[in-house]
Amino acid sequence: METRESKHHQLYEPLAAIVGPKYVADEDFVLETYSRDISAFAASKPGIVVRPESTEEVSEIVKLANRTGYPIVLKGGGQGGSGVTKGEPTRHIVLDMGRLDKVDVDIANMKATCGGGTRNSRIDDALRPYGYYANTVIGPYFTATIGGVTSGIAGAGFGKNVSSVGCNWGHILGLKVVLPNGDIITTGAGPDTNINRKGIEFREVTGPDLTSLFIGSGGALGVITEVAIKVYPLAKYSKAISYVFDTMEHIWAAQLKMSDGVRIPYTNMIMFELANHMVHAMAGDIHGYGALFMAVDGDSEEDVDVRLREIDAVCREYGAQRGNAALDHYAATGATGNAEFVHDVCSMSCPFMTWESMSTRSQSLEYAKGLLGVLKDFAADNAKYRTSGGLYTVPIANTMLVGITIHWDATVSGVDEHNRRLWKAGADYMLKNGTFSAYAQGNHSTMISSAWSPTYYKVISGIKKTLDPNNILNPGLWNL
Amino acid sequence: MLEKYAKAVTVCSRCGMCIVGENGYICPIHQHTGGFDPSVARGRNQIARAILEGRLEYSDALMESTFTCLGCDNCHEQCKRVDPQTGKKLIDEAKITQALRVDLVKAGFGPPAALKAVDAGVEKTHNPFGEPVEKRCAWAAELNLPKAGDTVYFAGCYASYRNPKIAKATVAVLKEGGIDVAYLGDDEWCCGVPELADGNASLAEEVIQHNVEALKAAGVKKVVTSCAGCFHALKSEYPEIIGNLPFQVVHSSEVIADLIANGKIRLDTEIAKTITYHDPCHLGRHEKVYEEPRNVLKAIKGAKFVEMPRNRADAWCCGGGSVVATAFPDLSKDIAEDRVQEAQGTAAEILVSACPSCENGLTPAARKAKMEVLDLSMLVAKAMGMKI
Repeated sequence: METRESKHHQLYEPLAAIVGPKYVADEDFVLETYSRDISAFAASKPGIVVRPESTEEVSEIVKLANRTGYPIVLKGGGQGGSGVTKGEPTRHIVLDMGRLDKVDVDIANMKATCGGGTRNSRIDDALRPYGYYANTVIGPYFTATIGGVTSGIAGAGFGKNVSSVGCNWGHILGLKVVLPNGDIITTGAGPDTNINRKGIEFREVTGPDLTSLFIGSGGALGVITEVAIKVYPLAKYSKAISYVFDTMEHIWAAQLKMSDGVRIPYTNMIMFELANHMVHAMAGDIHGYGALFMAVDGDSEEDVDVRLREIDAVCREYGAQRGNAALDHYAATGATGNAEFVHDVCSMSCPFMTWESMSTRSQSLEYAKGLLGVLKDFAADNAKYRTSGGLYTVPIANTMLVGITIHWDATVSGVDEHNRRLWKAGADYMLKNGTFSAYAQGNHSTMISSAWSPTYYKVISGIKKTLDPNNILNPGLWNL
Repeated sequence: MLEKYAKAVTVCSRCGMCIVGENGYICPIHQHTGGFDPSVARGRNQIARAILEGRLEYSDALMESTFTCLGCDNCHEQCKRVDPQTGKKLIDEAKITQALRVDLVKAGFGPPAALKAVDAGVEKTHNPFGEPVEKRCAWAAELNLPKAGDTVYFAGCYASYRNPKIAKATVAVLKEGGIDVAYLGDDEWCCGVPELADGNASLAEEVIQHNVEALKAAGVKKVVTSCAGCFHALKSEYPEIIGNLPFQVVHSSEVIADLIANGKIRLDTEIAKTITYHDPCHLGRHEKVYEEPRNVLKAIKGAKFVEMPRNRADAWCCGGGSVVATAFPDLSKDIAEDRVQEAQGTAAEILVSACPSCENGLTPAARKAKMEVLDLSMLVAKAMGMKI
C-alpha cells in the first residue's frame, strides 16, 4: 500500500509538467472510477490517472515511470470484459488514452490514421462524408477504442466484414507504438522501415512483421498511440435477412455450408440462440432453436438479390423459416455494425463476461455443446444469482467464433463471486479443448498464458524482458 | 437521498455510452474539463455506488466535481439500460447527481460559494440574484394584468430580472392570440430549479409549496411559462415532490404553435434572415418538446430555418444548466462558445432559443461571434410587427 506524505501521489507534479495539471488526477473519487471494467472481476484501484494528448506525451510518461519505478496500466474505452490489469494497487499510473482521438483521413491512399484513444464510431463519423468506412467492431462501436480493440482482442477485433474476410488485423496497415522504454516506433511500411518515408503506407514490409507483435498483446509490449487502417467505400446496395432454425445441428450446418463457398453470399452473418432475451423478444410468435442474421452488400440491387436467393436456398434446405420484420431489422443493424444496433444494445449487453473463443470449423458444434454444458452445470446457482448466458457464433474465414455472453442481475448479493466461479469453469473448458478467449486482457491473459508451452513462454518473456526490463508496462499481464 | 437510487447505480454497466453517441461526444463537461470519468454518468454512478457501499468518503474535490454536472440529460438520452420487461429506463443519471449533491450538502460539503449566495437570495427576496422583490414585476407595471384567472403566465427569474422583454413579448403575443393571462406579480417566487440543483432540497420544497399555493389561490387552470427551466420544474419536478397539481403546465412555444396552427396569429412581418434553433435541455430532452418551437420558426414570413448538426435529443447544452453558469462561469462560457460556434457553422444569422436562461448564457458568446441571439417569444413578437 502506497503511503503519501503529501496529499498528492508522488508523480503528480512531474506528470502535470508533462500533460498540464488539468489532465492529472489522484483524488480518491477519481481513482474509484478507474478501478473496474464492465466485468464482474475484482477491482484494482490505481494511484494516479493521466490523460495524455500525444504520442510524445505518452513517451515522456513512460520514461518517467521507468525512472521512478511506478508501473503503468492502460485504459482505452473501458469496455474490457477481462477485469482491469491489476498493476500495483494504490500505486500504479493509469494511462487514459481518450485524448488521443484525432482521425486523419487520406482517401487518395484509402487509409485513415487514428489516435489510439479514438472510439470506433468516431472513425466512421470522420469517413462517412467521403462515402467510406473502416472495419473496426460490430460492437461495442461507440465505447471501445481502436487502440483498445487492436491490442486487447485477438486479431484486432471483429468488424463489419469479419465473417467474410476475417478479423481486423488484415485491415491494419501499421501502428505507432511507444515502447516500454519510451522509444517511439512505427510498424508496417512506416518511417522506421525507410527513413525517407513519412507515414505508414501499407501493411506489407520486407522484414519481421512488428505489427502482429503488438496486435492482441494486451499492451504488455507497448502503448499503441496510432493505428493506420485501410478504408473501404460504403456499399452501394445493402439488404438484410433473418432465418429461424429448429435445431442447433441445422443452424450449424447452414452456417458451415454458406461459409465454405468460392464466393460467400453474405457480407456478415451472426447466429444467436433464441434463448438470448433480446432475440427472444423480437422473435415474437416464431419459435425455434436460434436465428441467423445476415447482411448482404453489393454493387447493384440485382447482385444483392442473387446473393439473397443463394442464402434462402441453403436455409430452406435445413428447414429454416423466414424471420419477421423485427428480426430482419436486427439483421440490418446487428450483422453490420450499424450504429443503431450497437446504440440500442451496448448498455443492455453490459455488464458482461464472456467465453468468446475461436474453434476449428469441424469441431465447433461439439465444442459449443460442451460450453453450453458448463453453463448448465451451474443451472441452480445461475437461477439463484439471476445469471444467464446466450450462445452466439460467427464463421470467420477458416474458423468459427463461438461465444457465450454471461449476463447477470448486478443487484443480487454475491453475484460477482458466482460469476467469477462460473467464468473460471468455462475458461478451464476452453483451455482443455485447445481454444482460448478472444480477449487479450486482464484475467483472460492470465488464463490464456497458463496454457503456453515452456518454449512459447520463454520466447514471449524474453521479448518482454528485452523491451521492458523494468516490467513497467501492464505488469502481470500474460503472467509476465 | 442517494439511497433512493441504490439499484440504479448498481445496474449501471460502466459501458460508456454516456461518452460518445451518434453525434460524437455527448457530455459538454467531459469535453471542457480534464475529461476524467467522474465527469460522465458512468463515473458518477460508480462514485455514488462506492459511497453507498461505504468505500468512498465525501470530500471537497468530490463536491466540486459533482457540481459541474449540467443536468442536460444527454447521458440519459444515450443510455439504453432498460428493464427488459417494461422497456423503461433503469438509470436517471441527472437525478442521481442531484441526489448526491443533496447528500454532500447535508454532510457539510458545499455547495460552491457562489451557490450559497443563490440560496441566500432566494431566501431573502425569492430570486437567485438576490435582487429586490419589487423589481420582479417591474416589466408588468403598465400591463394591468390581473392576479387571478384561468391562465397564469409564470415569467420566471431570468425573464423578470435579466431580460424583461421576453416576458413582455410573451404576454403581448398571447393577448394578441386571444388569451387573457393573469400574473402572480411578487407572489411568483423562484421556481425551485436552482435550489434543487444546488442541493438545498428544503429550500426548493419551500418555494415550490409557495408557488403552488399562490397558483391555487389565483384559481389557475393552466400555467404558461416561457422559461424551459420553470416549465420542467412545474410540470415534472413539482408533482414528483409534492404530488399531482390541480392545473396544467404548458410552455409558451406550445401555445404559440397552437395559435399559429389555428390561425389566431400570423407571423407575416417579413424577417428575411437565416435562423437556427437551440433546444433548451429542460424543454427538449427533459420534456420532449422539439417540434413546436420549430413549427413556430418555420411560420415566420421570409425566414429560412436551418438545423445545427446536434439538434433535438442530441442538442448540446448552452452551458448554463444546473447552476453551472453561477458556480463555474468560465466553464459555462466555454461551453456556450462551443454551441455558438456550431450555430455559426450553419450560416444562421439568428440563434433562437426558448429559454431566457439559455438566451442569457449564449448572448455573450454570440456577441463575440457577431451573431444575434433571441428568445422565441421576442422573434415571434417581431414577426407579428410588434415593438417590445
